[in-house]
Amino acid sequence: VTAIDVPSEESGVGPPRWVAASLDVKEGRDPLGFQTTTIDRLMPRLLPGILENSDRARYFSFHAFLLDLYRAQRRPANSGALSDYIRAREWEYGLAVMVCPHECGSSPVGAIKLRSVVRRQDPPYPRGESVETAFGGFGLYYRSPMAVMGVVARAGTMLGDAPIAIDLLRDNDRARHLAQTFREAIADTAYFNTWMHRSDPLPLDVLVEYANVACLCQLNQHEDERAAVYDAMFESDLDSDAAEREESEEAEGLPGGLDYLADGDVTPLAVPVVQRRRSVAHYLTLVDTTPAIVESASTFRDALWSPRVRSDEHAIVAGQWAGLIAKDIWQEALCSIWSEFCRTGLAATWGHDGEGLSWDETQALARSLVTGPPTLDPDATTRGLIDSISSGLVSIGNVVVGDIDATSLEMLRTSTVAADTAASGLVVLLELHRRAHQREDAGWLQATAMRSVWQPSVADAFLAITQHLDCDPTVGDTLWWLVHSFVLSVHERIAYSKLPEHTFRFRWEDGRVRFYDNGIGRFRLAATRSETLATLTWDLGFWKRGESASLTPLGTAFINEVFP
Amino acid sequence: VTDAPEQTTTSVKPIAELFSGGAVAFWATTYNLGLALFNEYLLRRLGDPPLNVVVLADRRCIDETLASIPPERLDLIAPVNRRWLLRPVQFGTGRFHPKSYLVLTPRTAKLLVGSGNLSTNGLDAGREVFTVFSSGTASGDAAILAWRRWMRTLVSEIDDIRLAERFADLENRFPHRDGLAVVADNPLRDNLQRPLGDQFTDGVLAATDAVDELIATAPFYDENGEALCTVARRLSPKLVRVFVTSSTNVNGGELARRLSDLGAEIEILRYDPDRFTHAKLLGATSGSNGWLLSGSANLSHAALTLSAGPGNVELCVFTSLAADAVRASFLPLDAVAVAEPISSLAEIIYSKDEDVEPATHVVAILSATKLDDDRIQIVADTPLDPGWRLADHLTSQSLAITGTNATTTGPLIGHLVRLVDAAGALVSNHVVVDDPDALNKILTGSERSTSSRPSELTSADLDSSFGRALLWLHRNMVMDIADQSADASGGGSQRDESESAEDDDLWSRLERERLGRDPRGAVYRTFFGDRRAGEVTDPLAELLDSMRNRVPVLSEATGSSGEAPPPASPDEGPTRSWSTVARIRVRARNVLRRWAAAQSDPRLLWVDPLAPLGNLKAIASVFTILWERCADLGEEAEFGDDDLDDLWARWFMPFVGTGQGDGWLDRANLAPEHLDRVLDESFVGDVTLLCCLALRPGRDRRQRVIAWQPSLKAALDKDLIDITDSVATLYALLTGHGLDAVLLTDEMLAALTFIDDALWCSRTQEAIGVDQLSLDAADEGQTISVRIKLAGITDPLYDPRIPNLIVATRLYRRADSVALIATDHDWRLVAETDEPIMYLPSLRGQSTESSAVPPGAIEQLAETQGVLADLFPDLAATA
Repeated sequence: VTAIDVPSEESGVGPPRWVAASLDVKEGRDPLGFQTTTIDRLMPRLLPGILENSDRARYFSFHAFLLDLYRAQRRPANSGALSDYIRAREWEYGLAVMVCPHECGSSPVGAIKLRSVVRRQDPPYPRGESVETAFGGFGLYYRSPMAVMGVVARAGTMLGDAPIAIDLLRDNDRARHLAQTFREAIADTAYFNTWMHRSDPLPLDVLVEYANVACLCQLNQHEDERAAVYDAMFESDLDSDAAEREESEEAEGLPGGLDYLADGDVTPLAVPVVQRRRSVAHYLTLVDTTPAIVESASTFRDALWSPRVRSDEHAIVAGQWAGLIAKDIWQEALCSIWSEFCRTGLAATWGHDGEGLSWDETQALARSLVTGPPTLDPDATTRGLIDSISSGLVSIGNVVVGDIDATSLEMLRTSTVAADTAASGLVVLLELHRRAHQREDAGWLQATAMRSVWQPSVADAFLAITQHLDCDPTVGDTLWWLVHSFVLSVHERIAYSKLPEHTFRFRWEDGRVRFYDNGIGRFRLAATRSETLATLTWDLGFWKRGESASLTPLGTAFINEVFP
Repeated sequence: VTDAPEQTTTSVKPIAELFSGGAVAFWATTYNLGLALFNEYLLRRLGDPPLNVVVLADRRCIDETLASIPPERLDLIAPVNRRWLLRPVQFGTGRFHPKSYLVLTPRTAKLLVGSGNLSTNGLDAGREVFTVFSSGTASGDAAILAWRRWMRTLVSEIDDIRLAERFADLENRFPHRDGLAVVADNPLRDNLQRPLGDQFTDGVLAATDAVDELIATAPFYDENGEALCTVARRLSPKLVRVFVTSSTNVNGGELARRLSDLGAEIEILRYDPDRFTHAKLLGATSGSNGWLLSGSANLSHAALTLSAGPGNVELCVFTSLAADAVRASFLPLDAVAVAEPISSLAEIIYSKDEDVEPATHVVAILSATKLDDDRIQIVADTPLDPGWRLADHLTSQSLAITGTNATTTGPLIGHLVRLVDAAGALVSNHVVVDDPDALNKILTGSERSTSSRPSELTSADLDSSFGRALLWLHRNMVMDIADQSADASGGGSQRDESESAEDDDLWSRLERERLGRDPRGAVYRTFFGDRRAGEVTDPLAELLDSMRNRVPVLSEATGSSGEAPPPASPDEGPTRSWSTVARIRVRARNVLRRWAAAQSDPRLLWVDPLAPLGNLKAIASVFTILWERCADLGEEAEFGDDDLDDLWARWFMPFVGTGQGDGWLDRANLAPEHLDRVLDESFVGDVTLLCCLALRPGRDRRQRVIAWQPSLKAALDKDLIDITDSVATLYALLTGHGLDAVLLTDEMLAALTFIDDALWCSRTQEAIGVDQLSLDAADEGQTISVRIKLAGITDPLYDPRIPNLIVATRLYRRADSVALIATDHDWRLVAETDEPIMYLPSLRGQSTESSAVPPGAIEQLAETQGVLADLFPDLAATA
């Protein structure tokens, strides 16, 4: 017998009901609000129009071709139908990439599902859809960039007096050329002429023939198409009102504007294009000096800190990317403090029968996070610690923190990640401050001024550290100050904003700080387009693989064009 | 595992039930409070202002919570007493422990009563139970009404004006203003009067005299479980079933011993998995029937066997259920019950933490309010020491003390304050400062709705100059207290007749304070006191400009709502078409009638003691213009002369009275010099003109004259009538009767003395108090001078009204011989000086005569309330 099986009572009042939880406990991926600074603020400005996963140049022409064909075939002007169409074509294209006769190993949209199909069953392969998300990989990775580049008009864009119902290829040369060149590349394939329009399973030979000319790896075999992609990414149609509007919208919100980019022969409306060109050219200069960056994100970070520059414009964009790296170091250092604080706090909570810590106990706990490595004296002055660091007396593992010549910031970052201690975080943070807080070049200032809703900018954090150090704090004081200022209240505000997803690692409740065991540990850095830049620039023929990466004449020409 | 109950499948998600948006009010009672959860999450989910949010929580819990907040975390309380009202509560020595949550939307009311506090554990993560009541159901309406009564009592006891103000507002936000249907028994049980244990056992024993099972679960008991055993002894169940966890707070050994002594079968069940279980349930079964008490009450003396004061304040739901349902209710969603021997209770220990009194402070701050200049005003429970200072997290301020009240001598910015002594040592609790302005903004959504206008008028009415004038009056003056009270009435229509009158004082104070704060009150001070010549333009000038379609002198009167009437369009004016101007007539007349009736509301004086006079002053000005319009436009004017007669009578007569001390002016009892100042020349001129107009020649003049006579006389006596040349000139213009001031004065005096038979009969009938009275013409040849027919007197010789009637008749007709003829009986009576009174009791009976009546004899009887029988010797002898 359950309560609801019992006939209703005379009073009409049912039995009391037990409470069921409505808050959904989750780990939370950005508990201190650092990733959003990179994802939502820095990257859209440093590399506008290129997302982390919009990493294959040929998808730009492929999707332009699909949109053009969809309109040419006068298919239904509703988003659902267009979404289905794109996902189906992406699936077929992905199958072709998976069976590419050039054995390139490229990873198409929906690769996990596709790989499973190709491995587990013999051809012919079934029809399907790339990913479940609306508009597939186009919607996820390419739609926004192509709109920013001015080759796609998003649904809702005004066409005359009426908004368009679905995404359309813009009516400009760059867009038309992009679609046309992909069409020409596959014009003779059975897939394009027959199988693209059928629904029965796809034979292997059809896919292989399709991949032979259309695979992601084959852009370099189609000069016109590659030129079209280049034009899409690095040129603009200034007489296209819609494109200009979108591009200028993209440029809005930059701190202090980007006037420094809009000098000479560049109009303000082309700012995103100019920024994109300069960032890619900067990347290529790094490939030239440090070829290993195409393989290693860590090397890429290392190279970004203090590169050799060719011109004032180059110095600006180099400064911007250096600011991004500083933000990542700052994040990792605080992450080490966060990680140990949560770890130790939870243990202390268990010691209090789950009752949490009083404010004083929390403060004491933060001050005690000095066991390292490296082991620190909580009562020593922080300035004294800085002196020790600069004298080369403080190490994290084998890394001598203060040795500027031998120890790069990237080494500091990786060392604190490995140590995962508050002491290592503090040391790296202080060293970052020591090395960078007086830097004042324009690009650096622009990037380090970027903040998120939750966290201050690197510049503000440096200023706060400087002011804090003016009070001659102890190491314990500094640890507590960092915890209080950048960890405690920030995390709570973020977690409350995410409710009903319960992502708290700790929170103030009933006069105590209570810790929760739902995912204690480090949080990841946001991607900095390292792999994306590598593949895109390779697709565009800017560099080639050999024993090491080397620039092609095209790549060199691009650098010279951007940084004359 | 026990074989009787099975796990219930019903569950509730309080956060989803309560905090799903669109709310207009949320009230909660709770023991403790998750401030951050509420501020950062739940509050946002309620919806946008206007929003009435109040949380009542246990004072000692709140004190502890606030005291534990470090300066670095003051962000935790930022919205408290700014966006919503937090009030710590303490009744006697007990704890404030009820857990109830009421949320109102414009159409619905929902009430949750249960065991969970306003915290994550209480509403979401803990093992708690709630009963959900929704308006529109019999039990829901009954419970919500009961909760309102209970809350009204609490609010009265707490005696906090701001809280009372919000409760008054809450009552006006309930859906179904005509009242929730009360067709079911009240399922709620509180212990304000009687202990819950008694109510539970009475409820069960009223239904059965043979209890099979007593079932109980709660996290807290009194030390030895005596409260539960007290209930058990009253019910004498065959079986006592107790659910426990390892965290149950009771001396398990003592509980086992006491249970064993009951003589009933004892069944101990442990929840598995073993986890703190905060639900409090007390059930009983008899055969297939069962009863369940669920809510906030633990199995302790403070909760069960004591009433509020010595015990806690608790709130529960008592319901009749099937026996199986009662048993099933005891099983949490995530647990089964495992039977254990009674000896296992010995493992359970009692911790005194729950009942230990925290360290008390020297003084308790009951409330703190931010003033406009950032000083803080506090109210304490005991007189304050002059050496104490009020401190926030940064600094402290000295206090200007008046008994238990004090105000800081300088600004204090902090939102959390406490009292410290001269050495800086804490002497009081911490309190969150009220920000009245911020609270009011959230409560109302804005200072005042821009659509505010007299309820009778439509927006289209405001297109006319007269409509704008009415709007100006509505927004700048308090014409009807009900306009304001409709939004926040302490004693409004929502009040339950059954409620005690003991709290009248609180609601009166609330309303007095609220009305006294009405910014429109400033206009009266401008009228009558604060205005210096040339300093402030007369607010009425703006009103009259509005009426005359001129550009107002002032954009807004002092203290007005912030919105000026819509500007007149250039083409708008006296030449507007009838359909535009006169369509407002009926609605405007209703507005002005309502306002006239509202002038006698004594609460109007709380806005300003001279508010009725100020209102009349404005209305008189408006009416003079309306008369101008009427004269110019005739039928096309907003009002015809009949309307203006009616309205002016409704406004002026209650103001001036009838000469019997019954006018507002009589009750106001103003000193002569004050009266001279407030009854200025302009006002007297308007009054005189309007009164003269009321007596103008024409249709129904006689009735008008008769109706106005008492008030006109009163007005003359009070020097409110002064017929000047200008009045006479204006009168001539408006009526077409060219009289100078002297002639107009004569006409008015004539009206004052005018009388005719019908009028005399009417007045005398009313004055004497008979059912009917008429003057009958004497037949030719009769010697009787006056014949009166009357009804309503059975025995004229013993009725003291008869001498009065005879005297009045003689005075009116200047005659001596008076015959009285009953129309509802057969008696007749003739009285004449120096003659015997002839009395005929019936047409068929014998007549009786008095002795000869000397001059003045009947007049003397009238004066002494004597009866004619005194003049009949035979009757006197009989007597």
